Order: sequence, then structure tokens, then C-alpha cells
Amino acid sequence: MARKHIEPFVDRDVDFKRLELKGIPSGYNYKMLSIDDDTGACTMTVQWDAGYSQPPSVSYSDLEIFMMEGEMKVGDKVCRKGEYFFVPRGVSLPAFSTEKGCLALVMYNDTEPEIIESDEDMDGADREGLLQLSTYDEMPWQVPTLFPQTASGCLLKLLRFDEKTHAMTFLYTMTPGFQQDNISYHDCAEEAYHVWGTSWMMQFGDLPTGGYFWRPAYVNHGSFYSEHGILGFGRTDGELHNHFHYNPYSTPEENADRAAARLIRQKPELNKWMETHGHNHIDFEFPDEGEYSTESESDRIHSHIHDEMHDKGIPHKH
Amino acid sequence: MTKKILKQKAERSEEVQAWIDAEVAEQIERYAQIAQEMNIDLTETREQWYREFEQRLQTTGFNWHADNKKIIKPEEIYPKPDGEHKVVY
Repeated sequence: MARKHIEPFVDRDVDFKRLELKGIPSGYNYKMLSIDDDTGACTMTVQWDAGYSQPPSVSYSDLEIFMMEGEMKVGDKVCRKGEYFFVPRGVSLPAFSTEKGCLALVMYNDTEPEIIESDEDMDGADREGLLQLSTYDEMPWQVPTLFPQTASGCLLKLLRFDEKTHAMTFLYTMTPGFQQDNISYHDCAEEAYHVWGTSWMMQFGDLPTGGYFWRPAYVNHGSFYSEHGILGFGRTDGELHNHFHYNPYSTPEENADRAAARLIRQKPELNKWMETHGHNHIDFEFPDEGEYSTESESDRIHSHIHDEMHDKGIPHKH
Repeated sequence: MTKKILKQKAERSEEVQAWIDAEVAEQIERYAQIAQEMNIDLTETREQWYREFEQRLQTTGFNWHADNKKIIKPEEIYPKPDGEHKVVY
């Protein structure tokens, strides 16, 4: 995913625009939060006008929708704020409509937004991967079980977990007075939107209601504080490991070096195996994906940092 | 299997490409504004936040895991390096 480091951005600061692409019904308004300049994949705040109506449809992209305000009738079910959908590419989403209008986060993960009228799945679509969750009403808050862990007062609702990549979609909250005195970075890109409330990060200052960020891997963030608490919607594109430290001046390259050194120290045999040339590395868990090589793994791991370092002229070693 | 679906997508129309180009151009502009605000305009305030953070590290401690904390010694505080310091990349 090639998106710029957008942090912070507050969608309240810009107006809605009409989305006028072929197949998109009238009444579809959006604020672009971030977009991949290659694929057109994007995250948007979407306001559907009162009376908006959309036929049963498919798209070539995985699609995520999180309802924030208003009501939307999806098939036979009336969905309210807190409703979350993950629609795998090629899976038909029932017709939906809104009588009085509604507000949502909409994420096309692979392509530009598209609505292709169809009440049938495409061949090979993963209908079992379709998720529809009433996140506010039917899911309890969980204490995360990572190591190392965030301070007490940061709670999660895990909405989606990709078993292949460990990418996650989640709701998170900071309770009033939450404070965590460390600096964090991750091996994955991270994205979040504040549904409600303000939190502070030492690098970027306050992020209020409507605040958003798309942060590439290995970028420092924290320490953290929230006076009155927040409710946020977040996503990662890989495993969310907290690399905690207290050097505010470290660069993404230095952070990646430290993360690599940790991997080598903590999983030396795996590192040796990955570096073994001439092997065919078989993905036994997902044989349909075929063999993988150190090159393809490298492409994946470096996509967030290495290519961007070249793009942005950040000095680094090879 | 589902990746095959993505590969079946037809080539982008000129209309879609123009829309993406316009949104990307807007994002580049937004990024430049954010980089100016975060990497330059906020510098002085952020340096003060860093000093306060360093004080807390030495008094109430560093959260190394959950609420587990470690007091950081003065000699363990990282000095400010020479040169440009960025927070947006």
C-alpha cells in the first residue's frame, strides 16, 4: 500500500464532495482521508443523503464499512451506528438505502470505490469471509493481550483478524485520564479515526473527534494522554507488535534496524531459515498461495518503508 | 482464490484515472501542509514536550509493559542529535 504519511488530519476541516463515478448512485458524498496513489484504494468519511438507495452490488475490492451516525437498511436489516461490515472482494452486498441519511467510514482496500450492480457473488468469492457485526451492542470491550502491552485504560474490540497477514480492524478506547509514557512503533502501517474524543501524542499534539491518521511502519508515536477519553476505529495491515522505547529522535530506518535486530535475537533459527538461499519456501498453511521466496517476503516487508525511503529521498543503507 | 478476482478487473477508465489523479494531487498538497505544520511549525512546542517526557521518565518512569514502569537514569536519556528532526515522513 503506497499511501503518504497523513498525520494528523481532521475531517471536520474540509467539506464533503459528491462522488460522481460511473455506477455510484447520486447522494454519495465523501471526504477523502487517504488514498493509495497506485491502486486507488482509499479510506473515506461518507455521508449518504436522505433517500440514498443502492442496488445489490459487488466490487473487485475488499470493502469495510463502519456506521457512525443514522440508520441504513441493508437487505432486511436496519443497521445503526456501530454496525461494521467486511465484504470480501466479489461478494454481493444486498441493496441498501437510508431514509434520513447516515454517516460512515468506508474503506476500499484494493481498488478505487466502485459499485457494480449484481445480486450474485463473483466466481471464487469468499462468502464465508463476510462479516456483519453490531459492535456497540453485541461485543464486550477486551483487555488486549499483547506483549509488551499498552497501559491499563486502553481497551479493544477486535472486529476482524486476517489469519494470513495478522492485519486487524478494531475499535479502541482510552478511558478518561489514560496516560502511557513510552514511544511506540510497529512493523506495519496503522490507521485510525476518532469517532469521539481527543487524545494527545507527543509528536503530533491533539487528535480530536474526526481526527485521522495513516501512519507508515516504524514511525514513532507517543507518549500518549487523553483527558476525557476517546472512541476510535483502527486498522493495521500486518501484525501489531508494540516496539516500546524512549528515544524521541530515532528515525524510521533506525527503528526498522532495531526491529530486525530483535527478530534475529528472538528468533535466530527462523532468521537463518529465511536467509537460506536455494530453498523453496513452501507456505504449508496456505498452499494455494504457492511457494514464497526471500525476495517476495522482502518485497512485502519493505513495502512500507524501503520504497518510501527511496520515494522521499530518505538516506538509508542497503 | 480471491486474488484471482482482483486480477480479473478491467483496465481503469479515463474517468476513474482522472478521479484518482485529482485525489492524489489533493493528498500531496495535504501532506505538504501537514509536514510543514508537524516538522517545522510545531518544533518548539514539541521540544518542550520532549523535555517534560524526559522528566517523567526520570521520576514516574517509562512504561516498558502495561503499567510496569522503569525509572530512567539521567545518563540514559537520549541527547538531541544534530541536524533535522522529523516526525512526519
